[in-house]
Amino acid sequence: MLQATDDPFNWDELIDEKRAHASTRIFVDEQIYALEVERIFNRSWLYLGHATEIPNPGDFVTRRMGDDLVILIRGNDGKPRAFLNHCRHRGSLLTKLDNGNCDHFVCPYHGWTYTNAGQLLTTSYDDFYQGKLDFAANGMREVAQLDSHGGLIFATWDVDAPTLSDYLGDAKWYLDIYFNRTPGGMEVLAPPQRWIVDTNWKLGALNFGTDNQHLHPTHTGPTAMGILGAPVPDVVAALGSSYQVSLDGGHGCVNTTLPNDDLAYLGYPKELIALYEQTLTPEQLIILRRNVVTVGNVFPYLAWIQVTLDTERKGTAVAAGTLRTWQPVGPHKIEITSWYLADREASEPHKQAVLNEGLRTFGMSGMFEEDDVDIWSSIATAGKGSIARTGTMNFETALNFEPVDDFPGPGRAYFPMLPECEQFNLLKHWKQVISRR
Amino acid sequence: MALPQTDVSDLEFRAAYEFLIYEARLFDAHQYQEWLDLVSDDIQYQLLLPTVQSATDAQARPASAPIFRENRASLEARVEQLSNPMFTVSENPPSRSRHFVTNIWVERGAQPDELAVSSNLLVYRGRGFDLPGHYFPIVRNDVLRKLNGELLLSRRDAESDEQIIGSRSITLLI
Repeated sequence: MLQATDDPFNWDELIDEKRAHASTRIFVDEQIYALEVERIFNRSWLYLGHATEIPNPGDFVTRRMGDDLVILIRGNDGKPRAFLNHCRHRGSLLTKLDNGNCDHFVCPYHGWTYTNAGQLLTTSYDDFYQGKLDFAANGMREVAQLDSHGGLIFATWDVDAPTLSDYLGDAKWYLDIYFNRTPGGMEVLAPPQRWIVDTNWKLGALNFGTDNQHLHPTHTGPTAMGILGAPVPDVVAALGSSYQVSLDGGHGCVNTTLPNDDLAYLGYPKELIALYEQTLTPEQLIILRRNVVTVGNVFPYLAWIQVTLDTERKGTAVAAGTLRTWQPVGPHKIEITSWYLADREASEPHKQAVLNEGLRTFGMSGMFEEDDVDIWSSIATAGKGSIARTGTMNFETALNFEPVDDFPGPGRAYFPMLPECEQFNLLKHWKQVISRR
Repeated sequence: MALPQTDVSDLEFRAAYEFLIYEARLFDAHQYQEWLDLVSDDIQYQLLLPTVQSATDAQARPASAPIFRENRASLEARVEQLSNPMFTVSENPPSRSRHFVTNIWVERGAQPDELAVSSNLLVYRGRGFDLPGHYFPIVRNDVLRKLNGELLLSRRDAESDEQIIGSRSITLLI
């Protein structure tokens, strides 16, 4: 599948590790974007959706992988698979729906028909092929590998990619704290929100993986208004005592945790805490128990945020947020796809509270979200300038901090959380992947 | 073919019409605190995001997670943020906004003191750097309740016509 896109780039110049600077070009350049599709998105494990979005045989959702359109579907045999949404005969979309259920797909153009496991059943004109058409080779075009972790379904076009488990590596340890922490796992509360932001996908990835210096200038308002579920002095204490974590594979996160257990399990109902304690390890529980806000990014573009929230300011915190992808739609455009999930064992009122708090803060019109995307759009707008793109972005605070060893989780932990260590590590990983021919 | 009978008086139609137009004026003047005075304490306010529906499936598919799902307390928080330039990046400087309200249809509500009012809404939002801005096509189904001779918005079920919103955010109220 690899196309031989021209690669005239000096990647060590674009990501200058000595100075901790990144060229503005990597956020705006069309040719670099083409290489990202080829070398990053067509080779990485990409998040497609959650198992609970397609619970029954025949259930499907339509998604993107890189610049391709795909269908994630559970076959009649119960197995999830992913295929190009693109008929093998003349290329029509096989479905225009966002989600649905079907036993087979019939192409509306000439009637090629496929099972929900992707096999070609009939071309509608089989006689004319006089037995020479290889039906087995003309099924829907399937991804090279598909696998899941804790209900999160990923796929890749790269036959040579490592297993999903190896690809995620230590990110699994952190993902499990927030998305796989009860015997029943999580469920998606509604089909995801999708919206378009005029920016580069890496600005989302860097923000969630993990930009902690922006909290004060960008999000002062909602923080001061008291819509975080923890008292503001405790939030400030947590910000000052927390670690950022760099993981192998370009993944990273920040776990903003309260310094002690005085507010243990803020935002989590009692009946679920017992389930967390039987599912997670003691080290994972320390982080969950003290969490105020965690933000992370799994390379390249799966991100999460979980925050203790109280938008109604009733003194009742609810831990909520989003799981989302920074789906690129070109160098200057992304389609944010944002899922809201809750523990399956949670009560219906708690699930609805999780959905409400997630939407109001980090949804398409979230009180935090809208300020982030406004800034990312302005970076793309200004960065497109011919002079601007000859400049660099500054990550120099990353140079002055080394990993510490007093953090309970895996990975390279840095203290404090504020220097740009993990952000620049993400860019170093990006360079490694995109420069691989 | 006869039009459906709405069974509302001219005065009631006019009151509902003026409510929607006045409300839009408040929105576009960014007078959100004053808008809250037109909202009931038990307001349910949501903006739905539809998914693409099959014309042949009997079973309707669920809508996407809504864009707004608010009550009085959460609307007050949004209004506090919108009203304080120190609390918002995305509305400082404020957007130019224009709420175009059309296709107003008024019927009797489920309760004797309620009017069921539907309207089409096209909202422009622009902030200069993001030229040409964005138009959000929305349909609204509202319940206006009479209290002490005044109408209050007690329910708004709005739905976007865009299934993937073509803009980075909706900072405004709709």
